[in-house]
Amino acid sequence: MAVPITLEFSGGAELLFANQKKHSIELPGSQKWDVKSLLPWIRDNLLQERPELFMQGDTVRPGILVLVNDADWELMGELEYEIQPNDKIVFISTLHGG
Amino acid sequence: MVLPYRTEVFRFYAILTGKLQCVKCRRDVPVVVTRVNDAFCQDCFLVYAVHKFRSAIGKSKVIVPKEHVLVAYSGGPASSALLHFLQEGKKEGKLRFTVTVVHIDELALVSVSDKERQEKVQEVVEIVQQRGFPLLLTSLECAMDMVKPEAGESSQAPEMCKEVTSEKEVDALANPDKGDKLKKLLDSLPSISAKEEFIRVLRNQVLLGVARERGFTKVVVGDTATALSVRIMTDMAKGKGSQVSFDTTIGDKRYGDVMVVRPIRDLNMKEVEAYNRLQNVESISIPHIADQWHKSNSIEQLTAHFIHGLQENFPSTVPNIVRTSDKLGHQDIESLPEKCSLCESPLDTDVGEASALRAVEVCERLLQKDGASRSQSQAAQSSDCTQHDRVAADNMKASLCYGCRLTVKGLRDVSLLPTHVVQKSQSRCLSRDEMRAQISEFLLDDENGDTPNS
Repeated sequence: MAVPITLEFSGGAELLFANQKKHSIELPGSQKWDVKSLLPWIRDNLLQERPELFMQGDTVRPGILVLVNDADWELMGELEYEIQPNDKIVFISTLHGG
Repeated sequence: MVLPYRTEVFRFYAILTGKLQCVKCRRDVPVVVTRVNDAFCQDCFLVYAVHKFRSAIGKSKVIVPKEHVLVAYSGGPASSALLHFLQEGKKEGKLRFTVTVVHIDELALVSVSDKERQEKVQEVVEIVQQRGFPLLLTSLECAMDMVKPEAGESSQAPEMCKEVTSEKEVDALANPDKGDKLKKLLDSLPSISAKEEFIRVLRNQVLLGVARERGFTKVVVGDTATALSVRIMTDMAKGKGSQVSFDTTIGDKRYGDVMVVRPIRDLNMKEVEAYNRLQNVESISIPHIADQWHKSNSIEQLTAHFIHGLQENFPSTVPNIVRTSDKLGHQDIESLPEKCSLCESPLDTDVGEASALRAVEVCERLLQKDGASRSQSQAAQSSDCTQHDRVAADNMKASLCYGCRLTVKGLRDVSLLPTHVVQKSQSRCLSRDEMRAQISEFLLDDENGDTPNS
């Protein structure tokens, strides 16, 4: 069963996604999705350029803040968090200071 | 009380990872993890962040009540948070000083159309007006020519900035001539690291120029702890170790007439972003020439990449670096009257014979006298560099601090530098020549024909 979720990118991260801040998507397939499997899916399906600015190894690049339903992902289990339908996942790049 | 499903999932994972309650109130569900491993709920986090801001200003007493300060706003997340802190303080009646905001338009360096440039500036104007502060607009290229023209005594120095009084009247203080001058200069600087350092120093000069023109004695900037830790390491790598303590302290007094204040230096970038998120603070993403610079060819990018990476797994990295640099001091400003013509920091080149600087200079001279490079330098001498150029370059070098010497190293034509820099280096050397002429009969010549202090 497809899992519908909302993704948001800000802080400069949206520039890697054709300047689109909000994305409503459906994760295909019937398997369980967690953040660890979500990231490569984003990289392969939504990312327009420069994957090294979004991901490093199997996690996000250091400096990118991830919020799951408006809470720090560190409180939700980071990569192990299981994605639920209608979750909102936000990626904020903190690399552009100022 | 039945909590909604998501909060249940929250609690489950929070229990799992041991972060059940907010460390402050021990009651509400935490939403953000900061410091080393402290989980805060929304209310407690906001109290924490605001407290950091207010106590930084309060304890250091860098701003006195009723003072009118200039606040630098770039549109980025840190300065957006800074403006929000100030606005909230004003709303609560706790802001004891008045604020004028200045925005530096750096779009001359990026190839955007005039229309796009206008739109970006318009966004800035709207946000600052929402915050309820008056706005001054200026551009990076303004600092290329801040010198009074010689014409007559009543002539004015070129205007540094414009007030924005109404939304309609916005037009970026774009100056194509100066913009071209700046681009030409940047193209002549050999390395990306030199370009980024030059832009940083020029930005500072613009802030100082606007402050001086309008009579401000304090400029407030949004340097976060993360930015400062990158700054410290980068300064050391670029030969500006003597300026580390100035670049990171909360009240930077090196310029004498204007003090630079850094009230959010105790908050790291993640805390600033979390604050912005919780308070719905918008930041503007403005294209910048630094976006194209990759970590493989820029000292600052490499350092930032390193520190961000380390901070991710060792969250005490940033506080440690900043705390260590706090312990660095500097000499009394009064005992260092000579300032670098480019960055206005006290000159650090008047050191004894047994110093690292002298050792480096000796090595450079030896390399020049060496056979292989002699033919190169001879070729350079005969073709591009005239005697005049070399004298100008030597004069310029003597008027710069060590770090700025490195920045402009390899710049063939020093007259491309901003006019105030060229002027300062010339006047410094003129007065030395005058002095030398006065005492010339008493000077001893070396056997080699070198005169002292040449």
